[in-house]
Amino acid sequence: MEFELGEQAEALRTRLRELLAEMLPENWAGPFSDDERVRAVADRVCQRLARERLLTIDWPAEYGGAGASVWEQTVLREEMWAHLEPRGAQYMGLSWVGPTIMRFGTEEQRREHLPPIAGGRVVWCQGFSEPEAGSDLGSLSLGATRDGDGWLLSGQKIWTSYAPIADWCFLAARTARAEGAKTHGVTIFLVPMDRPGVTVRPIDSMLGVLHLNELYFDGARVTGADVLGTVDHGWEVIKFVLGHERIGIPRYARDDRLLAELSGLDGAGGGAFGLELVRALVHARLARLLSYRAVARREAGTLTDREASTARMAAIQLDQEVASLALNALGPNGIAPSGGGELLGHAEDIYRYARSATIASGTIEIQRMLVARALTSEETT
Amino acid sequence: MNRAWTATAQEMAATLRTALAGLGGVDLARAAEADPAVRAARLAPVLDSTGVLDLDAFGADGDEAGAAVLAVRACGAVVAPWPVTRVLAVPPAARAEVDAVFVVDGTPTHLDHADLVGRAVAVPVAGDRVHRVRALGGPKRAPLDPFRVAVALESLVAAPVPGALTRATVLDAFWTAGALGSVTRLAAGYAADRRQFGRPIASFGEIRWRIADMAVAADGLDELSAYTWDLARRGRATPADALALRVATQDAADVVLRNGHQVFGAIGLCEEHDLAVIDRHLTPVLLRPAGAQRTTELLLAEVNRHGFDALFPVAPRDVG
Repeated sequence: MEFELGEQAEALRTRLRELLAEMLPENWAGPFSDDERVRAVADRVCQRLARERLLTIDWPAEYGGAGASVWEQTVLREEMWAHLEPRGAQYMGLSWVGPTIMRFGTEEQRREHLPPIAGGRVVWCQGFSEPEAGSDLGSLSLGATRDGDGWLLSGQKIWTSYAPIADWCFLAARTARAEGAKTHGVTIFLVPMDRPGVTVRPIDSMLGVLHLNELYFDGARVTGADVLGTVDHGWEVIKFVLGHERIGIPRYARDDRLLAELSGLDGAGGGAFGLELVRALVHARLARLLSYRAVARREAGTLTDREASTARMAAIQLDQEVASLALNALGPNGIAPSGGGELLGHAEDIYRYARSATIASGTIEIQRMLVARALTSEETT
Repeated sequence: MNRAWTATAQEMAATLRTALAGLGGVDLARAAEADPAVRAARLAPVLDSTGVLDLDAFGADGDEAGAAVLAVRACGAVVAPWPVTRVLAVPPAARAEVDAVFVVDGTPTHLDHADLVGRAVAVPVAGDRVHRVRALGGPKRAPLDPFRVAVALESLVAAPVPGALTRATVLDAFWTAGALGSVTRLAAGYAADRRQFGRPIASFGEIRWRIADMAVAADGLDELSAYTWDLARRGRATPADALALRVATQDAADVVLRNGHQVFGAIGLCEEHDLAVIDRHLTPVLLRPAGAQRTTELLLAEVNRHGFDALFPVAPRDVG
């Protein structure tokens, strides 16, 4: 039993911090902005990482990766998230779209989709949630109706992050009535966003631009070549995706950075603020270790709902704890529009985003349900 | 990263678990509370025969060190009535002269099981003035301190006991993790079996949430205990690391015990139920040397002085 990530992983951390210090502009506030110049930074970062084979370092070499260890990939994710995800919306393609296509895709789909993801040249969005199918995703109803050798898509998705800038949609649609389990009859389609019949409507939200959107399908045509996995058995793919999402974002890394900055404030050395600060440091360490446990189990092929969801619960609760701590410590100064500088200069933006931590990618209620179900079934079997 | 305990360590812990189960598990703690002589008469021979008290929990031998902390966890799972962590907190080099280490905050009037260890010392949580501990009689039972023994701190000991805070804290964390693991398993099993309104109470969201929160707390403590133990074995654990683990231990116990009682309802308060015994017997482990508020203050002072290791380390403050 030992917890060192290894020399290579730590060397990568140093290299990434140097690279980001060089590439990110002063006052970097993250890539989710209306400003084209900001998005151009994300594009440059992605392309630089791709050139250095850092964008997909744990992918197999045949798909544009470097075959690095899962801990090097963990370090990459930690550093990206800690620095306000300078890969922009690309992180979804890298974290779960690519691996899912590797797992379920045909050879043609792998050839078509993996190189652009590995090269940082394509943005994906996820078409899962619907107005009447949120946590209860199995109830999704966006229809795919047979039309000759293909299907016509009709219906709505919602909360679709990055849809306005996405090139492709990873779409869950209903190709058949549910028989038995309601999750039967779902199929995954890989749909280009410029296909006729696909419309995006941004939703103004407290999270800022690009995060929440509606996505309408009005007779958009898809074919068998667009199907990922097996028709009517897309739930297997969705489960794989959700498993990646639960441990894909190392929120604790950004929180660690924020806590380090908070510790430099006047008043952090004592009083209620100091005590809350050190408790948050403990919680951040716990969240990181639970995440490492999940990563290790996934690598070993033994990841369970208990491990994936406890890691996620710890991380998302930490996110809100630290965001609140930051805003309370800064007081009225903290609610001024993002002021740049270090991470604390973006405390209000981080606070707004943290509101979604316990909602996005499976609400905390769903995570709790999964953990409890795993435990109670362990104790009865 | 290697998160696997060695096979040898796991085998030894399994042997001890079997032996403790043979003694009645938590019933042994009940029996010892009613008659403290049970500790030496029934538990001591098992601890002797398995060699648990001779292990080096922080040595270079991974099998032995792993076996030691897993054994502590197994003892904690049934709140075995013996000061196992106090004995194993003594570095092997000091065992010729010292039988047990108690970490203290100020001058304690009582310590648990102090009558069982002849040559015990008290080490301050902050500072290095080591005193001999003299037990003043046997245990005087109290509900939340079932093996409390009146003590006096006597003459200063010349040699300090290196790493006492870290060793004791890590061992107490494994002990507590064992106890909390038991409570979490008991609560999950009960929730699956107990039916109200025509269905298992595990089907109710409120109960599920409590069980999930218990799992996060218990699993988190498991991970942080192992992490800090690994740091300590490599000589890299700071007092801040030890106190962070202590804060996490107290937090986890609060979450698991509070929610565990709520899942069980009134039955969990009954002395015939293991939860009530584990809760009461664990309390002195959580409060000595200091409660949660004081422990957090100690952690803050340590972070101010020496900083805290993290992905983005916290720098020491100029505390004058």
